Amino acid sequence: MDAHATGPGGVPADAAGRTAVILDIVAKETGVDRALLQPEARIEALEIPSLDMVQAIFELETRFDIQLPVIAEHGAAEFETVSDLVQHVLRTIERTAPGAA
Amino acid sequence: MTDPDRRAVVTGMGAVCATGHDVPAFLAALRDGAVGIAPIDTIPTEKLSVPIAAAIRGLDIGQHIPDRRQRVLDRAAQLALIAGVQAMAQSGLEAPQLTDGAVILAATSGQETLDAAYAQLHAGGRVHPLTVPRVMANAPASTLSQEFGLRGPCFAVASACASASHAIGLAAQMIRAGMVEVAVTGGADASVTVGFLKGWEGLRVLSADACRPFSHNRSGLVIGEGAGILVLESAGHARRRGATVIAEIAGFGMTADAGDLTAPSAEGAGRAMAAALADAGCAPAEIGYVNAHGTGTWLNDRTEVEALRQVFGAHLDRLPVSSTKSMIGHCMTAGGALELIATVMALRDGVLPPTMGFAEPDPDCAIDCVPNAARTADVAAAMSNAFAFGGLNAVLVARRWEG
Repeated sequence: MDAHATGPGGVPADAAGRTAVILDIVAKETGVDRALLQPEARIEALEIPSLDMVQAIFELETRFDIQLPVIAEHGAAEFETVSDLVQHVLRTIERTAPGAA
Repeated sequence: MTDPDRRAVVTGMGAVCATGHDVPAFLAALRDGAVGIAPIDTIPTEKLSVPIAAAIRGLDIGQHIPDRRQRVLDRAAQLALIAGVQAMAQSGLEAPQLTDGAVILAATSGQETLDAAYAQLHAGGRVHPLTVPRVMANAPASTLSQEFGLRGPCFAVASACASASHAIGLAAQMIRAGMVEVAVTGGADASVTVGFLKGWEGLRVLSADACRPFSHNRSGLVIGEGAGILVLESAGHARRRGATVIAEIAGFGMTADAGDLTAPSAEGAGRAMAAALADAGCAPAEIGYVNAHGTGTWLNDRTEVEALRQVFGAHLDRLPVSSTKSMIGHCMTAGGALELIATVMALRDGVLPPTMGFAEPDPDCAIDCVPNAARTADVAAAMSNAFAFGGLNAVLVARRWEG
């Protein structure tokens, strides 16, 4: 499938396209260089201030029209790596977005 | 006080309000009698019955604070930061001198954030996730602590419209007591919002046309917004680093009325003035200027004059007393800080700010209110009054710095 194909609401229809959008949003809202947002990169090591992450999650929820459930059992470090965050968003989109592929 | 090095002195000032976006502009506007009260054009007014305020216009926040920093700050904290940067620059203090410094500011709730959150909620939308850090009453204080690396005592003082005066008084006392050498103090308030103004409309004390303190035709107060931040330090600390001292905070008095929640008390206000004079070791006749609380409500102004008469007696007949709220509005929790800066102008520059809009003498307000035009005067000591809802009174006495 074309990586740029989009479903309802302009959301890319495939995981790669969605991941790109997720990383774009995280980079924009946290001010972290997009190139540093590698899947295995640790959120803590990126030194993202807690409120920047809150803002990024808010923007992700708005962009994909989803509500990201809090993973309470992880405590303060809800997402250990960039991949954890991306997978959480992708799973939530799959579960909730109307017409998701 | 026995040790002159422990006197609390002002070495930096910052201001942003309706009539000026920095201290030089603010003081020039006071000298010119510029009135910053105008029809509101910063927020939607269709729900307002009283659509005037002393709002800050033409201030490009983005020029002062980067976007990502802005978004975690309510407008009140943004104003505090802008004024704080000015004050710190004037003081010439640098990072190592600030490590143990204090930040004591007026407590203020982020009204713009609250308004937006409720509007979003009732429109079926989502409340912004940074709502809590934006509205917390200590946000302006924490913001300045972060910005300048001040790691000593940091807190916010809540006493409604006396908050900034209480904060400055506490900061001065902590310096005099030897607890800290440097304190950043004052207040910021951004209450020109629909929700807050509707609340004030309900109290029936807002003027629909102008703020005319002490004038017989006065019609109420006008809400303003702004920030006033002062850098205080011990006289010894200032001397050792060769800083330029602007004025001394010489006395602080505070009392409670223990009476009506909103109606003022001459007795409570008078006791606070007397306490500030005693703390400063200052005879009433030494005071050359009073910056009044002077809200422009019927009750406040006559009650304040009654209190002034009790404290100053016959000296009141020769004592200029003006209200700068006639120009910058009532800046709520920040008022006392901006008004202290106006008081400092009288001490340092020998210019008394006027009471604008004065039209008709009121026999119950028989004072020299410096009507409608600034005036030069030689003032060695001056007083700044703040009286708050809840019956809370805070009075500061400042002295011209003679070294």
